[in-house]
Amino acid sequence: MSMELLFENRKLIGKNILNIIKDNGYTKSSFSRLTNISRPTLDKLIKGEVDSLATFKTHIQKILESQDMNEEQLLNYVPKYKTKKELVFALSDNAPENHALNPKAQEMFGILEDIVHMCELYYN
Amino acid sequence: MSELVTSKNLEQVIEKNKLIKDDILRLTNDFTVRFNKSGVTGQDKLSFSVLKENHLIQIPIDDEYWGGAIITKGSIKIPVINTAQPRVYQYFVAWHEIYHLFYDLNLREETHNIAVDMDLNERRADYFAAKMIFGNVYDYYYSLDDENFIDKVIKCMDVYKAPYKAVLIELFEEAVTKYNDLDLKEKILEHFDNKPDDLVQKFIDLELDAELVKPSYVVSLGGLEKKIQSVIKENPDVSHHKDNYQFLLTLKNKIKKGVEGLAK
Repeated sequence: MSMELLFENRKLIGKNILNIIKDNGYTKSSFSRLTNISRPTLDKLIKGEVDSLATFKTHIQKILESQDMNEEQLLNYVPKYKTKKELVFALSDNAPENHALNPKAQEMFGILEDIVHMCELYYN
Repeated sequence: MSELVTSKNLEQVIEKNKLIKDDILRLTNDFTVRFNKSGVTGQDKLSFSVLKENHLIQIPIDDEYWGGAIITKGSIKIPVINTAQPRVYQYFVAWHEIYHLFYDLNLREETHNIAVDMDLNERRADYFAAKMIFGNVYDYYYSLDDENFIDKVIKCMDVYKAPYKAVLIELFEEAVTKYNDLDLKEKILEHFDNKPDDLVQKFIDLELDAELVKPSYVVSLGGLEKKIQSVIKENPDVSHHKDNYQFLLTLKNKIKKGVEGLAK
């Protein structure tokens, strides 16, 4: 199987990478360190938004090596993690409709998301 | 999102409360029986201790409107409180979230797709919070000999550890539905949308503890650190737990840096 085929299916590959991360108890950040792929690039890979074949190849190779997988296994990856409907309730929020979060608050919500993801890993 | 209560919709809010009162009182009794086996008496301590048993995350978020949430992810439900808001809001939000955590049918995994009236659902959470916090605030209000309406309300805030509007809503309900107290009703409507903007100074002037109307900036990750530490101990050869632990510490440091900025 060629890397070009994976590149053509990069949206699906992105989903599979995310499932590999979840199945093995990583966060995106810990997986990024493990594979030596920067966090922004990992995000792009997961979203299927890496448009350069050369870049794609380099990073996919790092993931395959870290997971001891081949291209075919990555393309046909079956998640162990069963995706459940996720629901976020921001219940105590009286903000007016045009209210925008400031950058500091946005950053804190990003941190909160990472923490909740870890809670999911360790409290289940 | 909760409906914003103003003097314009205050009467409607009281009408909604009438519809749900019996139901909510049943839940407050249920809560006391099921969750307060240790007989904790401080309502603020009780709500936080119950939430902490459910992995409460306390985090300061620089936003005046976002009080807290129950975040559901997969099969877990995590309560979150914004500690950058004054403590008095945190206490109210804690009870609000307890309603959602234990009694909100919409958050039960098997039923969360059922159609519910979201406004009414939020009113139920707020009413549950009010009923857990307040005793007989009407009698307490009249037991005070201050001449100034706002000073009396502030003393009610202090005693019940309740937000300004929550005190007024509770007083309004009693004035309208129980005592037909038109004078108090008028005073509440007159002041409802004009919360004093110098509450800290007013607390100090009245010789009350002003900490209640200041943020606490507490940072707590709900025992997650200890949990990961114990998993590392049990599985010393699994490297990604150590990696995750380091990542968690990095996040905690980022939050603490954020706090330094906010507290200045």
